[in-house]
Amino acid sequence: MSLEINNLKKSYTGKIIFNGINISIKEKKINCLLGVSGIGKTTLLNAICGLIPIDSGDISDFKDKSFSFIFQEPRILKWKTVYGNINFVLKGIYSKKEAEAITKKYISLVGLSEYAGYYPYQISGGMQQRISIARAFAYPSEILIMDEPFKSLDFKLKTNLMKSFINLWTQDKRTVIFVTHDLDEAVCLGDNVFILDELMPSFIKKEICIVLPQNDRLSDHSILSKIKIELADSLNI
Amino acid sequence: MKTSITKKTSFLCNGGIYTIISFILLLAAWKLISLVISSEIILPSPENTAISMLDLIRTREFFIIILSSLQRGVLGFILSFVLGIFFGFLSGLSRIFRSIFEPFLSVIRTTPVITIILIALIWFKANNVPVFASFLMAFPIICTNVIEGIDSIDQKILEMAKIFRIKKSRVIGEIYIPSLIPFLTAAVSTSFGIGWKVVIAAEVLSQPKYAIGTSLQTSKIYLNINDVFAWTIYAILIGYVIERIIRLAESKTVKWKKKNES
Repeated sequence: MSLEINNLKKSYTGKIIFNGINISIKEKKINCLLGVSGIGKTTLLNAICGLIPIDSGDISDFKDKSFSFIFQEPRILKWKTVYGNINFVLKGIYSKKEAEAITKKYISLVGLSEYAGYYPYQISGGMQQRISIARAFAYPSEILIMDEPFKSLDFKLKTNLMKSFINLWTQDKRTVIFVTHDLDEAVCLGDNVFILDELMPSFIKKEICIVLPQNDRLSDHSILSKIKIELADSLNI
Repeated sequence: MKTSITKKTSFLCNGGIYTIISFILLLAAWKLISLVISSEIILPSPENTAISMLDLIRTREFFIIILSSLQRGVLGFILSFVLGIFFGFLSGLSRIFRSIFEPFLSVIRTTPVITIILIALIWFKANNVPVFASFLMAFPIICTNVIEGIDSIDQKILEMAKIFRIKKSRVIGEIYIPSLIPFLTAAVSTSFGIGWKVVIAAEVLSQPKYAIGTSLQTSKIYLNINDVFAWTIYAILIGYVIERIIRLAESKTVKWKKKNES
């Protein structure tokens, strides 16, 4: 099963960003959109979520879907605790008791149980980003969107967060659309990697399928570099 | 438990001891200058002022006077607080309303205090002149702070709330209001301080029956400078106590800020 983006056109202040792009998003898979900065990846995500209108094309597969988001910044409320931030998106969807149980479950899944009562200023940036990952999974969405959530993090933190993410995702497989400019991230996480052409208006230059489970990739670097070489070959880098 | 202990020790170690030193220095300077001038009518000595303060507190009217002035200050403040938040919200959320409203705000902000008091003398009864004057002083401060607070709300946080489909009422209650609290507490302590001074100034001119301002003016007419100083110190003390209460209330409500930020 897949969700189709058909012939999407979008221009912004006179500049054509997409002139009929086609992407077939695979359900229950991690779909990675790999492209250089400023090529319109965020615009594409905003269009998919219905935050901005499109000029023409068909994205009706996404119309009635519910979304959760992991942003580049944590975007958490600094006046709420770790617990309060996750609970924030669940109120009104679940009963008080259910929301409490779900909040606790996801806090423990990202390893923040002992920090549940802490305010954001009391914890590190990496922990804040883990709240934002937990929040996205706790929210009952059909599609999970990730807009460069590992950008500007150091290598160790990035690996840790990716492990947290994969750990959550393998237990709760949702359709993920993951946007990045980083080849390593794409290779680590993507089931399908869509490579965007670096010239505007962009299109999907190549689509690559990686079958190896993410957990194996994250734990064995030699496998990872093998995939990367293959990928680089096919990209003629 | 833990925070109250650290707070107490830090008061003694850091600011506290210096506050006491500065207070002693102030008293010493006052005493010294009064010795040099050696005229109780120009500058009464600290000990004579203290005696006057004790004499005043023993009079029957003392607490009525203090409470009457305080009541005017609080009333003016509540008026400016409620209306300031209301109009601040309207201007913060609507561009059109803000464009229409901002010139009014500038006019109020720049009108000389004394003009406001003189006009109020014509319009209102003696008791209400100080209330009106302090309202007009504090209202623009609260209003401007609310507008600034709304402007400073992170658009990215609002976008997050939109994606997670948070209801509008909860966005106001759980994003707008908490973002505004630091701005509001700042506005509250400044506006109350200024309002309190204006209340007393207006009382000097409007002469309500019971008022600190009236007492100051009467003492001055009878060249009772000790009492002028004594009343002034009471006014300062009341202003100070209220400011401490406001700060305390702030630290109780804002738990999510680093302690050294405030």
